[in-house]
Formats: sequence, structure tokens, C-alpha cells
Amino acid sequence: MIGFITKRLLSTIPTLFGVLVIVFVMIRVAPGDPALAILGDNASQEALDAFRDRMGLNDSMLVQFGRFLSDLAQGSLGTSMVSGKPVVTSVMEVLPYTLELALGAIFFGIIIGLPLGIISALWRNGWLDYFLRVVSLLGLSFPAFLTAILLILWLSIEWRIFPVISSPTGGPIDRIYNLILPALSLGVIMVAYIMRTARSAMLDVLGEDYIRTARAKGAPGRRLILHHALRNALIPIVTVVGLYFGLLIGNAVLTEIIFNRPGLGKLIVLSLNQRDYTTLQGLMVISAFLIVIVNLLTDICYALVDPRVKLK
Amino acid sequence: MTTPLMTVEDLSISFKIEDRWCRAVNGISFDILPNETLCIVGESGCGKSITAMSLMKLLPDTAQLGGKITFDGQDILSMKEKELEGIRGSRIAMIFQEPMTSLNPVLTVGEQIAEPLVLHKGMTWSDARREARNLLDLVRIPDAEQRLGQYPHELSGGMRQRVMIAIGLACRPEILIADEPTTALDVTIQAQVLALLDDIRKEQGLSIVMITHDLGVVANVADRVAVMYAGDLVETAPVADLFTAPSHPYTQALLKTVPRADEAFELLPIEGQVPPIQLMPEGCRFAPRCLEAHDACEVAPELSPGPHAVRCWAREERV
Repeated sequence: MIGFITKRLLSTIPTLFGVLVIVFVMIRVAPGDPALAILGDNASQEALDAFRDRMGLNDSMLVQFGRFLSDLAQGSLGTSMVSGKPVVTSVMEVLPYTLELALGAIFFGIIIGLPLGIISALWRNGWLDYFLRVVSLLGLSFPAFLTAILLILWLSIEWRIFPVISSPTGGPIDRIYNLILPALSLGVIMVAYIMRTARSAMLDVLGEDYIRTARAKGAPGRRLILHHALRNALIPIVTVVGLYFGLLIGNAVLTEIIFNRPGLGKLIVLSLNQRDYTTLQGLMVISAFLIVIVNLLTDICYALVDPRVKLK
Repeated sequence: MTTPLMTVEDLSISFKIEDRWCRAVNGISFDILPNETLCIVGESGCGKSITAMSLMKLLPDTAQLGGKITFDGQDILSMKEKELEGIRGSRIAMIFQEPMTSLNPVLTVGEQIAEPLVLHKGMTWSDARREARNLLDLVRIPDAEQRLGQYPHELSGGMRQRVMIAIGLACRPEILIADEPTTALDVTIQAQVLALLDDIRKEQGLSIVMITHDLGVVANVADRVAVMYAGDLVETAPVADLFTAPSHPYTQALLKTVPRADEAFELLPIEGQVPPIQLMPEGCRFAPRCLEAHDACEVAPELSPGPHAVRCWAREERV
């Protein structure tokens, strides 16, 4: 197990390096000047020059990249061009908020999507199945920001159940309470994905010979579905959850802005607007690493769900 | 005469194909006697597997069932799902053709064998697991204790079929239905599995309904044989009678397709194919392929009475 994890982490180094190169080049190729963005239009030429000099922006791109890599090798992601704070610190400050948001979204995705998917499969081609399939299609096609705004209008303004601005402060109860609405709005897409996957996975599994064997043993319907079928259907569902975790981090940007929550998404947008190269680079490295970790966890989950999978 | 364990009367099974109900099994009747092996033989598509499944009412809802299957004074076909669950796996058990796919890949062998004991005998999981170990001994799987914790993919094909048999026997059923249990296995393993089934039948006094297309299997294990063709039961007889005096032209033709070592023998395939169920001929369903067919065959003959029963006009004339 430990050997497997080490091997997997080492094998991600080339991927991460690729991500680094792309991010590094893209930020610098994109129009906009950090000195101008940070010091403002009225800054004097001397001030701008001094800033560029201090940040090493006058060096060639290769030199800058070399400096970035050597920092990284020492475990540092550099300091923010704007605030002067270490990038790691500002990312770690907001990372928990994004993680709890993403986990909340997955939680809703599973507790709503999984049962609906199973129901849909059991009543295949019945009116309930058609209804749920249309709803899940809507869930997939609704842009995340629209879902969020509708939920705020409905649950916060009309019914006053949840706060409009869900700042994650206070004790654990408050924090969870504040999380519900953003997680739900981000989770809508997860509900739809999990429901559709669960439906098709259950339909596949219910047609398998071993389900017939279980019926021939006299296993009652509930046991047939929850024990014999679901265990097998979990394999594709785990894949979907793992795969769309990255998508959630991306979508979290909008959710965080609409609900005015701190998080990776908001930090990305802010750094982008300020052309804060160092923070952006750091954010990308950490996001990419996060996805690598999630993929690793997904693989470990496979081995837990399916005894045929061996971690080597 | 012995009282049958199960009586099948006028069983018909229909499926809807392009808005028409087509009879895949066309009103067949037979008995299952205590402590016997009844083989149901026929080509692929003759309806033998769905007949076997209907004995436990395991067919999907899309199948329309007619007739009567009496077991212990009750009609299986009119039972509710709850009542059926009480019988399945406890008094009637079934093993299937594909041991590779018939075992649940994510559950241990031990759990799968123990499950019917927990469901039907009210055993705790740990007692059932101990019993599962004895069952593995019964089906002659070595290192039983270790096997209990393994998953199906860790076993060979023959082992898996033995596990299936252990599951089937767990609650000591009165009838074991075996749907082509050896088709997917190597020839040497086939012989072992058949011998095992036969031994267990003798030891435990249960009845086996063996579905097969292999006349070699029939000759080895059957007490009585029922030959099916295109959803009809065309001949039923004690095994010795069937091999020495086959009476239905289909049975005769079928026997000529089996290679024999004892004499110079020409293999004769049966010309033509079983018609698809939506295009079944009126009258005798074998007539289009029958070398002895004549005008009378436009009307379907009835199965003759007696232990050696035949469904053919030619036979009626001969008698």
C-alpha cells in the first residue's frame, strides 16, 4: 500500500512539471502587466521600473522559470507580488473553505443522486424514471451561477432559511449551516452526474448472472438491490466522483463569488485581476497536486470496493 | 407408483415479440420423482433453460406463464414473490451454466455460501460460515477454511462450479435444478462435477433436474430423460429405453449426431434449424425437418401415455 502510494506520487512529477510549464508560460503570454495592475495607471515610470526590477520581471523568461523551480525545490512557492505574503500561507488560509465546499457538494451529490439513480433504474422507463432523467438533464445543463442565484432567491430571500452571504465563521454548527446552501448549489451538477451513473450502473448490474443467482437463493428484493447489486454498481460511481472532483474545484470559483465565501476560486480570480504571477503559479501547482491526490484516493477506493483490483 | 415431488402440467411460456405473443414453451407436462435425475435434453433454443427457470418462477416479468407447477400441494406459478422467496434456495435450488459470472465478484465465497443459511435457516453469520466450511468439504474443495475468505476470481472454473453446488445444497433442498452445469468446464472437470452431483444425490436423496444438450452427460447421470424440441416435449423415457429404442424421429436423429467409439459410425447432422419462435409451424413443430413427415403431421400429435411417452403420429401407427 505504502509502496503503491509512493510510486503513484513519484509518477505524477512529470505531469506536475507539465502543468508548471504551461501555467508559467500562459500567465506571461497573456496581456497585462503586473506592475501596472498593482501600482495603478498613475504610477511613475521610475516606480514601475523599480517594481519590475524587484520582482525580477526584467529577466528573461527562462531565468524566471529557473528561479521559480529552484524555489519550488526548496519547498517554497515564493511570495505574493501584491501582498508580499508567502504564497503557501495565503493558499493554505483559503484551501479548507474550498475543500469543505467540494466535500459538501459531493455529500449532497451522493445522498441525493445515489438513491434517485437506483429508483430510476428500478422503475426503468416508468413515468418516475422519465421525470428523474429530465430533472437530471436540467441539473447538468443549468450553469452553476444560475442555480446558485435561484437557490438564494428561493431559500434565502423568499423563505429566509439560509443566509444570503454565507461567510464561514463561528462554531462548527454555524459553519455547517452556512455551508449548506453553497454546497447544495455546487452539488446540483454532482447529483445529476451521480444519478445518471448510478442508474446505468444499476441497470447493467441487475442484468448480471449473479443477480439471478441471488434471486435463486431466495434473497428478498431489498437485499438483492442494496447488497448484491449496489456493491458492484459502486465501481463506476467512485470513478465519477473522483473524476468530477476537479470539475468541482473549477465550478467552486463561481459559487464562492456568488456566496461571497473565501476559497481557492476567489483567490484565483483576485490574483488574475492583479496579475499576481507568483500567487497564480502557486495556486495552479496546489490545485494540480490536489487533483493528483484525489485520483490516488479514487484508486484506493477501487481496491476497497472491488476485491479484483490490486494496488501494485 | 411413487408420488412425484413436483408435477408440471401443460406449462407454457410466451414472450411478446413485435406485439405478438409467441410460445417458446408449448404446453409441456412432466413429473419430477423423488431421488432421481431427470435430464431435459434438446438443442439450443428449444426452451429447456426457460423451463428450468420457470420451475422456481425465476423468469422476468416479460414472460407470460401458463399451466400449473405443483410442488408440495401448491401451485408455484400462482405464488406471490414473498412465498417464492421462502422456497427458492431452501427447498428448490438452482445452479447455472456459467460459474464465471454466476457468483458475485465482490462477495467472498464464504458469504455467498452462508447467505441461504442465514436467509432460510435463521442462522447467525458465524454459524452459517461454519456450515459453509462443511459444505465446501462436501463438494470436495480442499483447504476449505482458506477458500471461505477468497473471492470468486481467485478460484478456477471447476472450483467455482463446486462453490455454486455448495450454495445450491446449503439448505438441503428437495430439488436441485442444474442448468448445463458442466458446459463451461473442461472435459476432465466435467466428469468430476457430474460424479460429484451424482454422489451427493445418492447421499442426500434429493432429485436433480439436469438441463443439457450433451447426450454423453445424459448417458452418464440420467434416470429418466425428457427430450424437447422447439418448445414441445417430444419424448420422455427411462434412460435405457431412450438409448436402445428411441421412438421420436427427432430423438433418433439426435442420437445419430453423437460420435461413438465402439463401431464404424457415420455422424449424421440434423438438416435445417430450429425455427425462430415467431415462425413456428402449425401442427407438429418438427415436421419441416422430419424425414418421416406426412399429411397427418399438419395436426399436432398428443404425447402418448405411459412411462415411455412419444409425441408423434408415426409412433401411434406403429403401436
